Amino acid sequence: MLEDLEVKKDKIYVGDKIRRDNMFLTFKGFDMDAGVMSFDLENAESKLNNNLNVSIKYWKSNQYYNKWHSKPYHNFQISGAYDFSPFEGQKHALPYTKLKYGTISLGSEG
Amino acid sequence: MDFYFGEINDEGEEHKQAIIHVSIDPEFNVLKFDVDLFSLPERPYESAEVVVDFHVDGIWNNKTFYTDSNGLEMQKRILNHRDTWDIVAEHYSYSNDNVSLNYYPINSAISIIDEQRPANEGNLKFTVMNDRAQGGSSLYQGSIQLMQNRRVFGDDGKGMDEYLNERDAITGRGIRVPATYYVEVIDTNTTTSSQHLIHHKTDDPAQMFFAFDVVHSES
Repeated sequence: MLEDLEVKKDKIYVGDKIRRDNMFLTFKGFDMDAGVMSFDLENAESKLNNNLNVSIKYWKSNQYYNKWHSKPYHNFQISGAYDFSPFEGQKHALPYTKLKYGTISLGSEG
Repeated sequence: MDFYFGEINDEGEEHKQAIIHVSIDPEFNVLKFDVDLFSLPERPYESAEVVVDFHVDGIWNNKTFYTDSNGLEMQKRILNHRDTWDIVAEHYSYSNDNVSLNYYPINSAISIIDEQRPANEGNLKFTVMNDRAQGGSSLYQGSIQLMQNRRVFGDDGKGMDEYLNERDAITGRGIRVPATYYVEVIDTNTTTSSQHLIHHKTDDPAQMFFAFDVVHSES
């Protein structure tokens, strides 16, 4: 039955966890504006317990728009020629997007 | 676990979308982060170079990290340092180089080790393994970041006269970039790293072949 293959998901709450063998990952919450997710990672084999934060960030590019050329910005060409060079004076990557919500899958494959 | 990201832009449309699926790998004791990064917004003055940042509290890696060399042995890297010349004296006056000069090509893994952990408390190692070649670094204590996508609406003035603006051929929007990261935090005194096994799994996945029209002979 196809409906049996549908993954059941629930809204995630602080304290929800997934596990496999000796590893446990517990959701500890998130900073929605900064888009940071916090987890507690427990590895029973190594007897380790660590706080893990994951986020999506971005560096503002050091553009030379109209500085070197007067062409419009969209020329539809793909390029890998541009060197990575963040905006001058930028020391930290900035939050890229906001976290809206999280879900957790029920069952052994969660 | 699935986490959904996004914002509403000035036109009332959703943009900056991303989905992160978090799971534990069924074969190895590592976390798996499937990051599906949707189109980066098209704003001429707001070019973005988007990274996924992993941070483990309590790791003091002393500005040192290790990156793979073309998928082979790990090379030691130190922030703002080169063995054969004084990079600070030559480049540090350009403040925007402080970030990019510490970025390295990451083909399969980047790791940091807790340098201040007492010997009797083990040897803590934090590794992030990617499924494709990316730029990456460890710019802050306990952090590892890998660049997933870039969209830059300006030429770099180095002669190519092209902009970094990759579009989907069908939708015309910026490309959508999925990537997978495996995260491992272990005590190397008691646990063997799965780094090379993950590397093989990523680069040489098992090839499945099925035969559906097998004819059995009656004779």
